[in-house]
Amino acid sequence: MYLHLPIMLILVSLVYSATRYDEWDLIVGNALRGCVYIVTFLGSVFVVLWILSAVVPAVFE
Amino acid sequence: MSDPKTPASASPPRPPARALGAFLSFLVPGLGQIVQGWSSGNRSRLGKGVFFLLALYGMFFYGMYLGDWQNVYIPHVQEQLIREGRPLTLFGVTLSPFAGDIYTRLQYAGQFWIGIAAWPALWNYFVPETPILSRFQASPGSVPPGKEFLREQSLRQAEAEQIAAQLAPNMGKYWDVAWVYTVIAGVLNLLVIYDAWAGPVYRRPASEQTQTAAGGEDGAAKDK
Repeated sequence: MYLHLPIMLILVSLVYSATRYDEWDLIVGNALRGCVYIVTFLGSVFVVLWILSAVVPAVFE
Repeated sequence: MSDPKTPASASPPRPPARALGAFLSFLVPGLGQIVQGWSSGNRSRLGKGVFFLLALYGMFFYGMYLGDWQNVYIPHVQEQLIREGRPLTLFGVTLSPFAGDIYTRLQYAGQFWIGIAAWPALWNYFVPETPILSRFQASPGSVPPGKEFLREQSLRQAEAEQIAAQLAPNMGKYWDVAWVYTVIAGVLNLLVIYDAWAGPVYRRPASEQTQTAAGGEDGAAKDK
């Protein structure tokens, strides 16, 4: 199930990057940066939601 | 996601046959880039076109496969609602049948941009008397003219089929993952169409181009 996320992440980053550049080394480099940005963003959202759902209730109980 | 360190400097050269390329990329993802790359001898652009074709069609058809081939369609819901005297409205304005139908199936607004692969849904929606490709992208509630009384039954049958597909043991949350794949593929093709029209946004910085050229000349000199 969760394997579908990284597959989509890689494809979206590569396709987006390929519409920015024509040279493959630049495409791959930019796609890697895009992957890092997306993972960082989604990871940040995950951490915030995890804190709100698991940590905060435990502190106030 | 663009690299701020990469200078946009001079605009990259426009691709050849821009309008034709954009149109071809709308029909089939990457076909415009393939034609442009082939005609100009730009192998990198040709390779990009092949990559677009494989990646976007791969995402789109894999999404359809995951969704049991039942997630690309336009239903005739608004016609039935109008018939029942309770049409869909947006900001107080009653939507036309087509607008209402797209409103009930907004995913198709994204899927449409994948091009020809999503056209059977349009055909089955607009030409209900002669549907094509059997149940592939069938339009729920699509009935021949004069037989509108059958629409409700057709919609109910399609709804029952969709519920059965969603409740299948191996489906689970794949149902939503599936249509997301098809929609993302369609929306990404908008970027591909724009790339075929306008070319890449950035090109290699001039300093790197010089280094590459110099490296090539050095290599050639060593070969001699």
